[in-house]
Amino acid sequence: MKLLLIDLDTAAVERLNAVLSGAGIHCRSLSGEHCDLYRELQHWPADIILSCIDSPHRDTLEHFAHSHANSPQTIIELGGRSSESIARLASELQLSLYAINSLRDSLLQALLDTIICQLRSLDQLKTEMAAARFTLEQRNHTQQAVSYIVDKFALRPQQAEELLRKNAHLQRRSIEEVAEGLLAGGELAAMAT
Amino acid sequence: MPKHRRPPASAPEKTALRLGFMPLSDCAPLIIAYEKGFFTAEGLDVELCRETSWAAIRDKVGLGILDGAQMLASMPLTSRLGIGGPRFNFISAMVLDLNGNAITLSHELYQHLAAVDPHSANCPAAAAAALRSLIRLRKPSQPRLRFGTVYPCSPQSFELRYWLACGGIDPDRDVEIVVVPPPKMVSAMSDGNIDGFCVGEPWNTLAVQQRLGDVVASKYQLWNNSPEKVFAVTEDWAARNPNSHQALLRALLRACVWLDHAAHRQQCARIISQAAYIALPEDTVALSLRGYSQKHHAERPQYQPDFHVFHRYSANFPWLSHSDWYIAQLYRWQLLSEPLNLEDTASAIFKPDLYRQAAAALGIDCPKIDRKSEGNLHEKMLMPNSTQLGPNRFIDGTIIPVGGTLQYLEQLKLAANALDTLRQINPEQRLGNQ
Repeated sequence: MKLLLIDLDTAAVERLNAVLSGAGIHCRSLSGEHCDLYRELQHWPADIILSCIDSPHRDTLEHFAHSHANSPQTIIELGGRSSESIARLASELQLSLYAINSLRDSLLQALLDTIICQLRSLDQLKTEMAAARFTLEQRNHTQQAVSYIVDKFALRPQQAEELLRKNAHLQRRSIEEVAEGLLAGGELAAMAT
Repeated sequence: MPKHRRPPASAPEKTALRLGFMPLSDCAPLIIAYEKGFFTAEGLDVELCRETSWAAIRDKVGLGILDGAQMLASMPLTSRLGIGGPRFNFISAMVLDLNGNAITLSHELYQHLAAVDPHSANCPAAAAAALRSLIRLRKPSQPRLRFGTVYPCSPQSFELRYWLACGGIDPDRDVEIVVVPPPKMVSAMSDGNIDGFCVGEPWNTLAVQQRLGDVVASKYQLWNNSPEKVFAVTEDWAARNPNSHQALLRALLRACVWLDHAAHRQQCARIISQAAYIALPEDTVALSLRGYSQKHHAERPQYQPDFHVFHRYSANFPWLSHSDWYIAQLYRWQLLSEPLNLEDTASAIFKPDLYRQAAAALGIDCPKIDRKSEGNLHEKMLMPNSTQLGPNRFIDGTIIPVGGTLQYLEQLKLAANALDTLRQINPEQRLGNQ
């Protein structure tokens, strides 16, 4: 089965490729901006298309679907009823689904579940990573400051950490702030040893 | 707008609303309603969402991601019928504008046309006939000329087909029609991917200004004062939020009244040309809004005061006869084969009574009838400064009286068996020999 991904970001493409290839789905990614979509759709006849809902090339895709009845058609409902998965795909992931008519609704539902699960978890991970970035950077600064003190004053790591803690207490600042100041260079002289 | 005392409006059920628009000159009613505070005055907190495709607008309104949107005039109908995309039950109680599109050919192709017939410069019918001559001279090995429109079954698509057909060109066999996003239309022509296009402003002006293309027909010349964009919501949304719907219609109607003042057009261009909306130079956007059409780079822009009509001529009224015309075009081009009852179909989608309610609240007169004849009013037949109805001629002189849609289809040589079925389920339509 061939799945064409149009105007999806790289991380989403990699994630879907990694997961769906294991189920026998061959993914291909395209940027609508840099190709003749009509030609690509004819040369690589996909069974399913997943397009960014905001791709400016959606209308071209619609035209191709309209003029080629055997090509993937826009899917808005499953089993003749409105689908929560389709709505989530559009509203939460900004994606639109196209599929050839002969595919079973159960297959599409399973595919939607996988896509939503994978991309939602990817989105969640990205959000969490963004939130954790500051904490990780601070931790990194502290480790670098400890290494610096170990080298500079020939102390053991535990002693260097204690020194940072003591300075933080004296300066009424956090250990991370003291570490950052130390690395910036301006507060080295003020370090109470 | 006449001065009057407005009765207090019922409180809107939903006040925080998201409305979609496309970056085209005729998104102006939504932008102006927002910028001039007409939405706020109705107690609405509107967020405008710039969209990148008509399919996105269709799906987002249909799935409830947007509350309503600017839509192609044919879209509520084709979506209801499931033609050119999935089925959605949209309704429209208001037309946002008339006219505004044009057909532009690449400068190279235009020069060939002008060599065949110099009248191609200013006569759309002559240009179409010249194009037919050129197509017949092409070798079988040459690829078909390629024309861009903006969406399958769009007004632009029907206008392009109408123009080609009036020159004796079969749009499905003699040329290739593709869909290109409006902001990509000029670059597609520049790259040689298309030989012409039918699109709204300011993209025709931009092609001419960049010496890439020449305008051979305006939408006005093809069918005077025909509908271009409508405001649409889903049937469910309208049923759940009748007061919010009326508040939106009133705000948009006030914007359309404001926009129809010639003195406001430059200000409108300044506002909608901003990065958040169309993101093009003010002068490019202003030209057609101020009623000027630049057809050829070497010539001065021509004054066409009705190039964009936002309110006069009862522009905002959702005429059911416009729906009839779109249905006729769907049959004409074999995009629809299922027999339909014209009255039921049109009245399920277009809502004149909802428009009348909003207009009455603002003291604006509006038509008492739901359908009108099309093609029967020439500019010279109207009183100067007529505001109730404008000219409505077709380029080929067609006249479609009220109830005459099937007669019109008969003239277009629609298959006899299809016409028989249509006659049976549309008994109110005139018979062919009447």
